[in-house]
Amino acid sequence: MSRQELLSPEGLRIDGRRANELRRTVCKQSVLTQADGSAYYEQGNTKVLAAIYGPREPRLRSNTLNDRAFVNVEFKVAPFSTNERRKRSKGDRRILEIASAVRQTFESVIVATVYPRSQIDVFLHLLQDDGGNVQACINATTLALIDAGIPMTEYICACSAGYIDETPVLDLNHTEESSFETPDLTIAVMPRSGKVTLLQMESRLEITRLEDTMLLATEGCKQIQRIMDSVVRENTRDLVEKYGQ
Amino acid sequence: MTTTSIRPDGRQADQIRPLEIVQGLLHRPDGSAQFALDKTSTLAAVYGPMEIKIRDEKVDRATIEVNYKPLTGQSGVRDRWVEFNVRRTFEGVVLTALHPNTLIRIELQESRVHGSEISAAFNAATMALMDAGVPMRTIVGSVSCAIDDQGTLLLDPTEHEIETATSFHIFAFDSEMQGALFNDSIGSFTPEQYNACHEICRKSVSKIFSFMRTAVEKKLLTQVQQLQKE
Amino acid sequence: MSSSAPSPFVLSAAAFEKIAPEEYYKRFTSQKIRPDARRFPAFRQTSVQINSISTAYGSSVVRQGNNMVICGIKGEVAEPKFATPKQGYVVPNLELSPICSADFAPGAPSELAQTISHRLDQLVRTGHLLDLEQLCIVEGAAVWTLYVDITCLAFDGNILDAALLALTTALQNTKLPRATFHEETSLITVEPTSPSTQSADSATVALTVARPLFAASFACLPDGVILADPNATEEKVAETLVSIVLDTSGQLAHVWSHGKTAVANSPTIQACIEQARQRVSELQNIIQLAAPKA
Repeated sequence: MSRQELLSPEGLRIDGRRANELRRTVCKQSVLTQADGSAYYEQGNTKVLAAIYGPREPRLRSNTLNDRAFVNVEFKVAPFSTNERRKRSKGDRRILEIASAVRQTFESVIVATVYPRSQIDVFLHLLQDDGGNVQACINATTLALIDAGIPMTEYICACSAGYIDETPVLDLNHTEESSFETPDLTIAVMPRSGKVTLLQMESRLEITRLEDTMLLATEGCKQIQRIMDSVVRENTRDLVEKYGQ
Repeated sequence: MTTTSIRPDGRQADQIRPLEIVQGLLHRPDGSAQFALDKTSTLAAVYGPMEIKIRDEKVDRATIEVNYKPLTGQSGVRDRWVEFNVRRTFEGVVLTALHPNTLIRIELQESRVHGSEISAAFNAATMALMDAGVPMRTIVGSVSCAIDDQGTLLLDPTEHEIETATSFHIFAFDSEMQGALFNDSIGSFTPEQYNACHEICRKSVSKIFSFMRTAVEKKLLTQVQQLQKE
Repeated sequence: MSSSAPSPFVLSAAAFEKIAPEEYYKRFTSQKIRPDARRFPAFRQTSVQINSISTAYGSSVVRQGNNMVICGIKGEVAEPKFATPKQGYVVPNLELSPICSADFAPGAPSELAQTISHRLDQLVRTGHLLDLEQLCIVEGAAVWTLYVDITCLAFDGNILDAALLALTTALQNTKLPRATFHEETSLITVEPTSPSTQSADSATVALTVARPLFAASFACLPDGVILADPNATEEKVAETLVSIVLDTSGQLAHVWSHGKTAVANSPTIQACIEQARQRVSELQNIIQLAAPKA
């Protein structure tokens, strides 16, 4: 890719955002009728749908764990989600990597011991791809799990950050992400306890800048948490009202 | 309706091609049959009732599985569509409640392709199920028809006739021949044309049934004669 | 029901439905009503949303009761068949992913998904939904292949109706980028390269759907009861399922009936066709509402 102006002289990014600005984030719970819990999460032009089925009987006997629930995560990319149509097979490494990142992240917060000998399925569907798939998947999963009423010790919020030239930037979009000179760091934190459950980084970043970048991404997580929190509260209020009648 | 038009193979518009049935031609399956409409022919094999995987088991009836293999090439969405329809039809015909917790497998293989293969598949499956002695509430017979761009009804069309037709209709009937057990029509046609297709197929399916009957009678007769010799 | 003997065992409605679904339905149908409060000929509320996926050439989201399908269209340049040098390809594919219902397992596409995909493919080709010659770029050298990917996000029966509506409306709103053929290099360039920059409509070519097709499906229950637009439970208890596909002029494009018992010959099909006619005009209104304001 030719060296595109990722940052204008005025300090604005190609989509018009400032360096430390999140993309427009919209989320919604209980969007699917058939699933036990579901959520739709949109960050800029990245759109993800999450559905939870379970706790239910494990499909395979080998997945039956006697002391806790088995958490299964499947990630799918819609063929029309990217500019180039690509039919991705189920065994695509990139897809498996994201699915396993989500699974490992949530195994630390889901209280799986209350559902022994059962399976919790998390199905993620990427409808439109504009960078930041991992963070969108994690945030959508948090909302869907809350919607399904699966006990968790805390929220998990994820956000990405990177460096363009000398400027730390928050929440990279696809163009920024795919420029190979831009380091891209995704972090998932539990906002209340401040614990980090996932830290991924691609490309090269100076060690002295790592802390800055992490702090910026964590700040992004806190902003996202506020958005998610208000959606959860609103959804719960609606539910209480409906059941109150 | 005029039926004077002569088709390229010398048939009348409402004439079906010469039929041929061979039952019990395979040794390994519990029942087998080949059903041919002249140059179109399908081979069917039936296994079961037999043991079934626990996951597919039904406690109150037998599970029916259908596999359809094309003559050439890889099997694709069209074959799944045939399997779906054959399975749906025979689920209502086979007395599955008599064999709970078992599997009845119907294997269908195209052996010659020259139009109206799906009808041949339905008929072959019926004959193979009969050969296997699987209890059924009725037998199933199927006939196809097409309407060409002149609006002429062509019974049991060949591959070329289907390709140039404006609509193509597949019907399967039970032995009461009142209404269709299965019907799949595609193309562009009016309700009147649809009714005409239904009627012509309904009438001519009796020929298929009587031919099936003759085939079974012949087979039984030879078996009886063999037993008498011994 | 005070006349019946008092029994300590009380069966809840939900349990009754699970144990004896046919009998459960009969209790409702004898009162001329369905468990979801619909009358027999009533279709579920249907809505269409156009072009909500900006990475696709055309897209639509269809909701029909609890059903939700999303359809996205992407194009690729391909070589035409020798026998049909001017015709492009349309490849419909329906996916019933595990996201849409607890009944679908992950893995290879289900039999139902493939059956419906084949059906849609036939409706496009044999049913002449689209004139495939408008997909021609250079005769004999390059044509468009349109991949119509339909993903079901929530499944509640009668998927053919929803999938066909999604396919028709997405194709009606598809804009292809302009493709140019360079003689000297015999390469094709496509402008604009990404659909998201399609805001300038001048560079794109809108697709025309020659024969928009609409489906209406019915479940036949014993005693001649015909339920329009069956949901997943109604499909399971039905004796026979009937699907009718019509174009806007009332001409039939497809009739599909399959099931346990013979459809009480033509009267049933005739009644279904009549109801399907009304449904088509209903759907045309729904599409009109969804059309982008000029």
